[in-house]
Amino acid sequence: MADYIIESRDLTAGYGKAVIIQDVNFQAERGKVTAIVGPNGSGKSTFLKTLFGLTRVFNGNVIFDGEDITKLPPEVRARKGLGFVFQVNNVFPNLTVRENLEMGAYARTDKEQIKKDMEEILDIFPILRERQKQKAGSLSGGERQMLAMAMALMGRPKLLLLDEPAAALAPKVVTQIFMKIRDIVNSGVTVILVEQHAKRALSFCDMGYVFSSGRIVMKGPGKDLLADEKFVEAFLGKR
Amino acid sequence: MDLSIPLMNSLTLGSLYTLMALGLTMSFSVTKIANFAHAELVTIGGYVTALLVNWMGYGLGESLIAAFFASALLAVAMDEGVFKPMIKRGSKPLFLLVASIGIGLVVRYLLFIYADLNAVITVQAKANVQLIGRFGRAGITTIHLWVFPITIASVVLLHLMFHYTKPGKALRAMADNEDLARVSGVKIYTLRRLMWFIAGGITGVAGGLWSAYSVITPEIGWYALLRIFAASILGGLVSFWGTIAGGLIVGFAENFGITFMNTYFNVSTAYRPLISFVIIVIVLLLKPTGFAGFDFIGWLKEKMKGGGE
Ligand SMILES: Nc1ncnc2c1ncn2[C@@H]1O[C@H](COP(=O)(O)OP(=O)(O)OP(=O)(O)O)[C@@H](O)[C@H]1O
Ligand SMILES: [Mg+2]
Repeated sequence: MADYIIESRDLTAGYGKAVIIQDVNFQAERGKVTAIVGPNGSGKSTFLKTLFGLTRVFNGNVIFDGEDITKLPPEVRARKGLGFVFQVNNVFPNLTVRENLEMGAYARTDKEQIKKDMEEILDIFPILRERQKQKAGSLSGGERQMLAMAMALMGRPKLLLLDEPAAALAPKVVTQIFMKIRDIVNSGVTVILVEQHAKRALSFCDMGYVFSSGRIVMKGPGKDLLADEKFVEAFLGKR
Repeated sequence: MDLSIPLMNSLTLGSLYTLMALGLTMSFSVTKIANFAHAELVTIGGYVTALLVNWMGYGLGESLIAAFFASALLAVAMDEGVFKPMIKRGSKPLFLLVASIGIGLVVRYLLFIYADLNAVITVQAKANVQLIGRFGRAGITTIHLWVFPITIASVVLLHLMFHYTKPGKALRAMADNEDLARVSGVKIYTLRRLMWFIAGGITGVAGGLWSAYSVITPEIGWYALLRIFAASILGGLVSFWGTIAGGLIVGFAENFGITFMNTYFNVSTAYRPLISFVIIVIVLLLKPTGFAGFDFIGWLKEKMKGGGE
């Protein structure tokens, strides 16, 4: 049996009284990249937020590392090894770049190691070293996305949720971001990646899920989905 | 015309307004609640101080510490009892504002009943005030030796806390983006309690100093609220340094403004509060961000339209 780091079982959730995602059964294998694709408003972000406890759960469970975490608040999930890069508003604009990175390591207590990690992260993202003392609100889109990922990495997560990390960025920056994500996966972190660009995501991932109107409508290895005529027709347009 | 008296009054009142406004700036920036019951945190601090000094014979210092705790606890109770449950049910900022007016009203009238029963509708802490020097015609007293250092120390300590300690930075992070703070592992409810405690406490001390400086009534906080908001709004509602500038500007504008208008236009000094009101309107019209980069009006407009991404 595959080793799943996180699973959702019959998960139904939303905001206030509104149900947004329904009966979602999802698994992400440890050490792999699992991609979620689907049209605008299909509930991809809502699903990620639900994995982190930021929405209202009406039914179902979230299992992380074999433990039912459905009722745990986000701050506790962060301490259990979940990391999140939001789609929007994913840095603290009035904090400096360095303070943002410190916030990424907020839940950790190993001070010495945090210092080392900080240096390492600033080596991996040299642009952030240059901008250390600047407020995060003054960064460009690409830089901000780098900072958001760097912050999440400062938390040393076992599982990283990435919500459209390359949206609205220049092609060159997109390539850079995806190279960083590959490095992150190679360092042993499991990644769940939400992407608008289905082709890019599915050729990058191990396993893919397709969301539509808050439900999973297809799943399978990324390459299989890309080869599936029905999928291509419905989500990538005829070619 | 001798300006030493309005100058001294301006500085003293400006410091007191600053001290009263620091807590409002702090609680607004973190929770985004425009807390009208902030007024009562001033009043409670004033009464605790006055009654401990007058009835129990405590020193001013001890009484101010008691005032700190009384207002700190009241602030935490307001949040735990009313604001937090409302927010958890998805209340909009406007409802929270209305609720805060309600809390203020209840506390104020309970205090009225108490003060009436005990014949302390007007009271002043009979602290041991001595003249220690003169500045022109204005006297410098021991009260000034309390007011100025406490105000300066509060601003400096808050600045250090918010920029150099872990909880302080986390509070700034919460002010920016609460969800992001949570996924970073910040225990937002614990920090929020700490924030209300400190904000309430400082406000209580401000009220205590006020009661030693002049006569107070159960409405003293309500009466000062306009100035407190003016000071805070001048500071953009987010910046402690901005709040000092705001407090002093309100203090100076009121005293010099009213002295000027009284001398040259024979305007009654009773119109003094109008000056803060004019300041608020002008700032909100011309520079809603005050001295800091916060767009209060834009933020309010957005919130009035209702939440959502
Ligand atoms: N905070 C919120 N409160 C209420 N409804 C929301 C909230 N956030 C999103 N929604 C609604 O939930 C639905 C799904 O939105 P979601 O952001 O999860 O979709 P998505 O698949 O991530 O879309 P996109 O590709 O545009 O990012 C939408 O109809 C949206 O309007
Ligand atoms: Mg989304």
